Amino acid sequence: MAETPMPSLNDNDDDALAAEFVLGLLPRDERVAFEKRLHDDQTLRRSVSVWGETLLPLSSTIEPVSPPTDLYTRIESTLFAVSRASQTENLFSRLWVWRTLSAAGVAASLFLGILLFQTTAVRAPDELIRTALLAQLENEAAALRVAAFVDSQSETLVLTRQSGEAEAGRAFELWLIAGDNAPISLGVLASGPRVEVPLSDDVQRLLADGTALAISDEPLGGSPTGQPTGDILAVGSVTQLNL
Amino acid sequence: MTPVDLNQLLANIAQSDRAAFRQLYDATSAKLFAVLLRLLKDRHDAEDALQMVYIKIWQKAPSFGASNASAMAWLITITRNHAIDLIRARKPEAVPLETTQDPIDEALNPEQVALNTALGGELVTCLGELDAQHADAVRGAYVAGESYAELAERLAIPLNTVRTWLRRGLARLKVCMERA
Repeated sequence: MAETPMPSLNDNDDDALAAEFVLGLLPRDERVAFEKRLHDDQTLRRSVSVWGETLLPLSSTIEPVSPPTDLYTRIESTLFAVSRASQTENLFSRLWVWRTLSAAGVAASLFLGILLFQTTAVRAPDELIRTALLAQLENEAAALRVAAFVDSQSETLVLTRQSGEAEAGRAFELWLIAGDNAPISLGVLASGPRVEVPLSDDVQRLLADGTALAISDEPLGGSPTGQPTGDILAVGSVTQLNL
Repeated sequence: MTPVDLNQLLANIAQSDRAAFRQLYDATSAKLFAVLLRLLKDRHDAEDALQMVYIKIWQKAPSFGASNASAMAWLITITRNHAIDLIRARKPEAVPLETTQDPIDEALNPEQVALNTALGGELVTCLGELDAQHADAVRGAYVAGESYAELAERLAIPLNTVRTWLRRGLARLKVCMERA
């Protein structure tokens, strides 16, 4: 009995990969590579979206189940909230080392945003697991709030400014503080709500769980001394997430 | 009642709109939680996973962008892929299941019944036109998160050909869906 001629999935395998991605069938290394391509490939994104919609009816018979009521709070505190836990002291003292400012001034103006979330998810044994670093930079007094995100596959730190503007004639400068070392400038931030900061290899190595990021108020063009000269407007500790 | 516009909410979330994030959570968390429970079969794991899924949604919202894609399909793809990572991490995929019992039989039948009665859509028609085993494999992967190794084991297809075999089924499914 003759089989129906085999239809081809496009000319290449991309559409098949998209279907496998949506079905969850891609082996991890292939999926990591695929997701990387998804970023820039609109055709691929379109394929994923078509397959996602095609197969969506398969989930329509799964009856919704309400998650525990406190779960949203947990998510919110992971992403946004500010904790007053013991790390605050630690970060505070690290900042104190290099920051020449009156103790009262620091105490009054700093409100440290620290993410304490530790995923309890099972870690895959292979090294391809994707991680991300996340920090929430905040300062209650100055109302500057910035989320920082860097993905292990990218060489760019993405900052999203959620509130706060630089004063006229002043600029925001971003700093990385690793351990007790002096702050390293990551540059003056452009004024848009979303800023991408390219990361050198050296900085990528330093940017890890527990590193601090801070934003200071500086003259246009940045600190003339190579160290923060103005007020620290926001600070946060970097937390690693396993995605 | 106006349904919540998930695409609009995602566009707002991409601009760091927390209120929109809350609305999206209220509108979709019960569904995504159910998907996670189904795949992970463990309430505690599903709760942790749901937390991670929404963190990813917050972070990835800008990449959903202004596309006209279905927001729900996008959310479910993120959810399923996260759950499948956890499943594969629990159980290395290179090792086929040793169990001889049909692992998704009980999960599947109510689905099929419900699909056939409630949906009656193009997908049901097109899955119906596939070989029964192909349709079964698509459902097994999507609903129960089965890997290629597990599909090969359950459907008694050699591991080295299962991928080509399933792709053939997916190609037919696609042709049928495009015709519909």
